[in-house]
Amino acid sequence: MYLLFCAGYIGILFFMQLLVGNAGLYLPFCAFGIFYLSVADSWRKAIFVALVAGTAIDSLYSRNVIITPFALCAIALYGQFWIRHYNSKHLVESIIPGILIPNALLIPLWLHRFYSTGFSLYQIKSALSMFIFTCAFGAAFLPLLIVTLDSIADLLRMSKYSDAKKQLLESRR
Amino acid sequence: MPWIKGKSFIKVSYLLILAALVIVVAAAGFDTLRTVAFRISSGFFYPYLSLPASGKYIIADRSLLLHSRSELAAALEKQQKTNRSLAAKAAVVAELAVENEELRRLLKLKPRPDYNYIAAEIILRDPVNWQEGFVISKGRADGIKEGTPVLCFTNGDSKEPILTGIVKNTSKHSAQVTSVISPHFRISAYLTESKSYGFLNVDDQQRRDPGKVNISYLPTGHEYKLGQRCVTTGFERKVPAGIDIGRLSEMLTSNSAFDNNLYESGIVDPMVNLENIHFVLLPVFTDKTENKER
Repeated sequence: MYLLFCAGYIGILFFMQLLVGNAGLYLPFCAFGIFYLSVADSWRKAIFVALVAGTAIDSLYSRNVIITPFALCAIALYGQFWIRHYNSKHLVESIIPGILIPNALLIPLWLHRFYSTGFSLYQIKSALSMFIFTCAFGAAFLPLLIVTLDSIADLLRMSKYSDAKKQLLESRR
Repeated sequence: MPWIKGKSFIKVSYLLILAALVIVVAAAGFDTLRTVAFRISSGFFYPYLSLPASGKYIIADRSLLLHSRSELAAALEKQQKTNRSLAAKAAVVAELAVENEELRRLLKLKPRPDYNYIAAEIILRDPVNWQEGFVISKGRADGIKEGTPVLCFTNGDSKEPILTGIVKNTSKHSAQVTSVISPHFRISAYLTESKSYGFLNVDDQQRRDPGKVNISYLPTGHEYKLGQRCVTTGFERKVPAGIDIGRLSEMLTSNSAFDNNLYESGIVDPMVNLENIHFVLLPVFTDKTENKER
């Protein structure tokens, strides 16, 4: 049942990312879902999903270099770092990963783009506007996503993001 | 205990070597698997990616019923008038084509290549590399092959097709297109007023401007007037000659002592507006000589 729940929200976020990408917006919905999975459940599942989703995204876009699966794996591991050093109950703190997660994906993509198409003021302007917009969106979206998925997880009686810290401390005892 | 420390160190070393091997093999295999990965993933996701387009058409069809009869009748009449005018032009062209074929047969020249035209919609674009390429809704099942040119009409008023890109990769129901602005788009080109041939994007050392295309290996000794049309040459078997690519916007002068001064280079401003393109046309090459041999 939990696998269905994970597959469901990761799948929805994956297609939302593709649909929004068709409009010219880069919004890493999938990355936020993987971060949630890593914190709320298991980093191993998150890494598996990261590899599959990242490979699918790079294959669909026919990118010359595989970047997304590794960036998503880094986000999955960041989720574990986050839960060990911060309290998952405080939603406001989740603004920080909401800002950092898009950077983990955009920095390698744009570095590759600068390398292949050249480095110019126009490119820098495009990159900066994408960075700023995506980070601002992430800061607002991630807490909303956590609240939404936590309420659904609560209904289905599954592990939640907000209880992750508590569960981690209990498992250490 | 020293042997436990030694064992852990060996274990970690083996894991690191294994991880490095996996990364090297994956990176080396990526180039080979990239084509396959696109075909598998686009084939798998195609039904879901085409859903929004299907929904859009259903809504558009239903919204037609909201128009009044007089509006629909006026639109129909206008369309019939356009169709009659196009049919008359097509009849003249068909006569010229028959005459051309007959003359070629008499001169024992190879017959002109024929094209079937397929319309396609853009279903997927990478937001980071927005102008460098896109995925269209037609693939191998519709006769699209790698190297097929992709054309568009930039705005509704344009009567001439414009080269948008070339099909790079195909799956059964979709195809990946490399646009003219991509640095990987390489094709021969012809400047109409200077009557000179050159090549697009072949010189990696040349300065690259965003949204522009580099043209290199232009012969020296010609006058290159800015603003002249740059068109396809027909040297590429699947690409018809005479299709607009862009206009020459700048000639680059080289002052380096190391330049051989045998060729000149320039920058072409592409005519296609890749920011706002939704539908494209693909002329699928059909070789009459191959068909006759079969």
